[in-house]
Amino acid sequence: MNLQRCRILGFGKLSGLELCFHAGLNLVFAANEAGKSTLQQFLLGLLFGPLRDDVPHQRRLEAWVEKFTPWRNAEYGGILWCRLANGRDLEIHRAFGKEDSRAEIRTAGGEDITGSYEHRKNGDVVFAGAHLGMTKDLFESLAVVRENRASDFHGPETIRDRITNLAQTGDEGLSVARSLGQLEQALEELGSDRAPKRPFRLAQERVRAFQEERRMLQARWAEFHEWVQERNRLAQETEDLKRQALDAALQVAAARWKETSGRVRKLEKIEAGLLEVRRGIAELDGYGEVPVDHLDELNRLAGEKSALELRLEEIRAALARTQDQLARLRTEREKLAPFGRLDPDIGPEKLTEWLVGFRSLDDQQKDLERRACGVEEERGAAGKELERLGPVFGGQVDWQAKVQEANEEERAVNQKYMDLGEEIAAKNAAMDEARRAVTRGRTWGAAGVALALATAGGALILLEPNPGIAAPVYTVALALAIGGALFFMKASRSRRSRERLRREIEELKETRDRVRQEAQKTHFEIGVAMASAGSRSIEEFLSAARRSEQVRSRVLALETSSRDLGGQRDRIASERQRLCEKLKESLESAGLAWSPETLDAQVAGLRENLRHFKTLDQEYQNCLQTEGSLLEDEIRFAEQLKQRGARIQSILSEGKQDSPDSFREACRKHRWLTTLQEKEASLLREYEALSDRRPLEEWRERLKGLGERLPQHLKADEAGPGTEEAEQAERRVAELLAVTREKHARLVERINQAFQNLRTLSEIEEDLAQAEGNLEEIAKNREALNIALQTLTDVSRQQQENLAPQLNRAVEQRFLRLCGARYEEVKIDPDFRICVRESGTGALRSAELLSQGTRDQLYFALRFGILDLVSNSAEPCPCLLQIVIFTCRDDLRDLAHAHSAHLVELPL
Amino acid sequence: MGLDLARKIRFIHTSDVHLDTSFAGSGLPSKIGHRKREAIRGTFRRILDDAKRESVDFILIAGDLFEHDRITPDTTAFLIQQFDNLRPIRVFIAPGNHDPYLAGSPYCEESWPENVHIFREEKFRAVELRDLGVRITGFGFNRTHLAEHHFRWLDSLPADAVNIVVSHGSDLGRVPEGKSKHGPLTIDEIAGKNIHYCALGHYHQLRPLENPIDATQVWYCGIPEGRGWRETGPCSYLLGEVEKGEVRIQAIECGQYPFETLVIECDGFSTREQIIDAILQHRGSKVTPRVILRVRLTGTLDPRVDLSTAEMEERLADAVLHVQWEDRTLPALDFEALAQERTLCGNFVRALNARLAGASAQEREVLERARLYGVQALLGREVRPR
Repeated sequence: MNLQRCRILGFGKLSGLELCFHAGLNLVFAANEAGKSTLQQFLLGLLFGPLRDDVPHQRRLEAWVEKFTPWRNAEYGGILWCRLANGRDLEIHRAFGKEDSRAEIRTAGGEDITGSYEHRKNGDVVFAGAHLGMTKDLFESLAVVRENRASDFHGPETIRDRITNLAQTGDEGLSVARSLGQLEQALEELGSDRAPKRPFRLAQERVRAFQEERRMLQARWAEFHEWVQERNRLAQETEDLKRQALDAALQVAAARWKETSGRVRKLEKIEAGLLEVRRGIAELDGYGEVPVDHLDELNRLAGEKSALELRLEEIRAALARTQDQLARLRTEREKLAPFGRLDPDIGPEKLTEWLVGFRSLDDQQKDLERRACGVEEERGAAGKELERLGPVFGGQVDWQAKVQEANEEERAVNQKYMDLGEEIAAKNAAMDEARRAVTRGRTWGAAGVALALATAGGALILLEPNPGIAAPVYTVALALAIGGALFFMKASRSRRSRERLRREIEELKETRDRVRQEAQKTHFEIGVAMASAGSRSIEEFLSAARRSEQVRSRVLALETSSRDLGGQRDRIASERQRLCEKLKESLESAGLAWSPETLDAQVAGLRENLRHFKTLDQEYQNCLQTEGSLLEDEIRFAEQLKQRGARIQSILSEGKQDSPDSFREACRKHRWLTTLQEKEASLLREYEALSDRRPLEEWRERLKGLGERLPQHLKADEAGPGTEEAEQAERRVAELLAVTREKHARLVERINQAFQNLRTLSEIEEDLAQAEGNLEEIAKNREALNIALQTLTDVSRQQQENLAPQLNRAVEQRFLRLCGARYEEVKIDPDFRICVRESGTGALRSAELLSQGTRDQLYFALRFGILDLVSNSAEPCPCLLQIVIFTCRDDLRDLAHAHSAHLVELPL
Repeated sequence: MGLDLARKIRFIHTSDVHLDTSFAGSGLPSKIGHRKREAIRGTFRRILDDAKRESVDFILIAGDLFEHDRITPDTTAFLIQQFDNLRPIRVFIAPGNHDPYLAGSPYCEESWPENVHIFREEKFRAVELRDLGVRITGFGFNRTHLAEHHFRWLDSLPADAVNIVVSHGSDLGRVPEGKSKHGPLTIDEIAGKNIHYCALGHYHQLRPLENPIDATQVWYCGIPEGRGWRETGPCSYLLGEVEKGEVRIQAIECGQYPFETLVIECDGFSTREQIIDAILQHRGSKVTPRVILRVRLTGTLDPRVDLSTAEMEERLADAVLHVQWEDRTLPALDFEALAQERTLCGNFVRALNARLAGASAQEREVLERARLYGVQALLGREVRPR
């Protein structure tokens, strides 16, 4: 779109003015305060109108409308002629009045085509927006440059940010990063469930708190309903118990009636009983004096008397039987009298023991004799073997130890011999050294003396005439002589030392020989023994020695064994003899002769007869004892029988009775009388207890009174409970009633208090709804902000990636034209970092490193490049620049000429 | 019983009192909800006072006296005490879908005064008031939803007394929008059964049922105290008279805290004072110190206007009992024009417009907010979540 000309009817200070423009660059110049900025706003107003773009539904005027009201009384508005890219000419008529903001668009032919444009609700006609494809804000941001912003480039970040903002939003002041930051901040302010003090979390907690409160209330409601049911149940139970209490009271009355009725009957019965008892007492009068205390004694005595009589008869029969048996035993015993003469301590068992012992000792004696013969034979054989081994082994010498000792001694002697040998060798070496020292001392001493003599002689001969020189020579000769003497002394000492060493060596050699001889002495002794034994080697010798040692030990053992066997044989023989004597003596006592051949049969016969005699004897003794005992018993029981009879007679006399049976009858009657008297007393006591000291007539009256209040069926009910039982039942019901009433009262109180300190469900639901609504709003806002953030990030990234290459081309084209041949390439990366390449060096330079002028050029290139990208590509966008140029009019003409620009001057 | 009665019979017909109801659905805070519930009690007490003052013979309560799930023991005690004070005026209660006769219901309490009769069965049962020559037949809901046409179970009544029927039910002839149909009925199920007056409950608007069949008068008595934003009209109960077989019905207005909705067009407003002024201009009509007001803001709101509702509520504290805000204003942004731009902002708007095109209603709301917040940020304006 090219602006052709404009007519200003009235706009600020400008009025009635018409200006023509040309294609390309127009330089509008004027003096200060002439209205250049006013003209720029006028053109903007004609293109986009005076109404605010951000409130399309309302007729709201831009702020400048008030500011640019015409100074003079002119019509507020103007006309703009423009030509579109397709060659079509259009006129825009606009009036900027406060109340009237008309807009009219005509063709060059005067046809009004306003209706073909979009009309907003606020009445605005969208003209420039329709042709240029951008809003007023965007046009102002991109196509109107009010000042030189390029000078604001400070660093790489500033440049990149501004390019990014310009490229993406069309406005340098608007930052994508800041927008994202704003959204993030808004999201942060709402918070998340991890931020405990932010609205989102607070709203969540509030919702949870109300839900919990509701849950608690509902739980209490459930409890409440249970309590109400329980209360109703208890109320019903109370009513039942009241009825039961009434029934129980009736049962008590019935029981009391029955009890009184029973009492009256019993009292009447007792009265009848008393009459009968008293009649019986009268009949038994006279039996009260019988000594019934003696009845037991009498009975006991009568019983004892009968028992004694019976016992006495038995004793006498037993005595007769015992005496018969005694006579029979005496006869048999006399037949076996010889066996009774034996020692009473010797029984059949003893005889058997002696016989068995005798036979056993006999066998043992024979066995010992056999063993003694065997030992003697063995000892003889061992003695022969000792003789065969030789006499050398007959002594007490331990040849094993001796050989071992000799070996160890030999090892010690060898060691000592070697030590002495080494010592002798060392002494020999020392003696050689001493010998050489003697030779050296004698040689050097002789040489010294010889030289001293020669020097002294020479000096004496040759330097006699010159004593000054001869004196030192004599001194030298003296020194040499002293040296020679000293050597001689040293040689003498060495000689003495050599002599001493020689003696020591001799002594050592002697010692060595002595040691060797000592060692050989033991070996010699062993060698003699071996020769005597005929052994060819030491091992053979030692084996023979060991064998002889064993045989000698065996001989000793056999000798000991032989001695032991002899002792045993003597002891057994003695014991055998003792037993033989005893057996013989026993046989002889019984009249039997000793015979070793028939000893066993004789001892068996003796043993059998002895046993029979002893049995008869024992039986006889027992019978004698029994007879004595029976005789004593007979006497004692006869005496006791006599005593009992006398006592019985005494008792009968006292009771005035003639026999025990009549005494017993009198006692029985006496006892019956006592029983009747006791029964009378008991009945009297029972009567008193039952009547409670009230007469029977009174009880009858009371029974009548109780019966009047009682239903007949209860009187007839025989199965009813007793008074105590009925009273217990009544008490139990009363207690149950009290407990149930108390439970009921407590439950009623609990029901009344059930919802104290609890809010109503409606209140909780209302608060919960509010809290949930609030939470939902916050959640929606969070979601919306997240979506906005994500979408903006994605769109921004995508746009940056798409835009960067396009912008690179657009900027490069303009920048290279503006800077001439100084630079050859512009590079803008997807992050909008910008660099230029120098033509000469080929070096890439970052924008912030460029000179101020170059940066200005780059800035304009960027602005126009972005304008190309953002605006409608089919319709070029007019640009309104405001540049401060300090120059005179002639220079301005030259400048315009140089840049093919047209000059337009605003008149004052 | 004969119809020639010596004196007039007077009665009150009310229903849908909804004691202890919750106003969570209306978005009221608990503080206001509590006041409103107290108001319901107060209005009900006033109806009972009117009954004593007018010396009515009985009161008909056609269901929904309270809310089964929410009624507190305190309210039960309140009802028992109020009815007890009412003696000898008799009270006939026909439980509805909100207060059905269920286990655990306060109706199961045995402490109701003798002058109270509760129709406990899902059958029409009659109570003969021989001293008045009146037969009152009632039906009680035993469940929270009754789908059957229960009036079909009602046989023709004997003509030896004034027959009055009380029940909860939904007239299928004119169902209010959004109202559920509990105990559906039609006029031909009521008419022709010797009924003089039929007291209905369930619909909250006062209205008679048109009866082209006979002289039976069938009325919904209206709600004594509004329960939500849809019940903004006058609240009422009915005072009836029966004389010589003729029934005369008079509606008595009641209610303490009505619900009202104001729609404020915000186009051209640049300050919140203008909004407050616009609300207060309604003084004398909808805005009173007792009203619970919903202000719905519409139109295009200047982005510079700070819509801090808390501050506006403070300004309106003396004018209304409670104000509830509903911001339906549109942002003063031309998203269509922005979408035409070849800038980042244009790309952003286009991206979100593309998502909006295929979004559900719920998603739309979030996406529209995302678009608004993004554009606000891109235009360098303050991002202010709603």
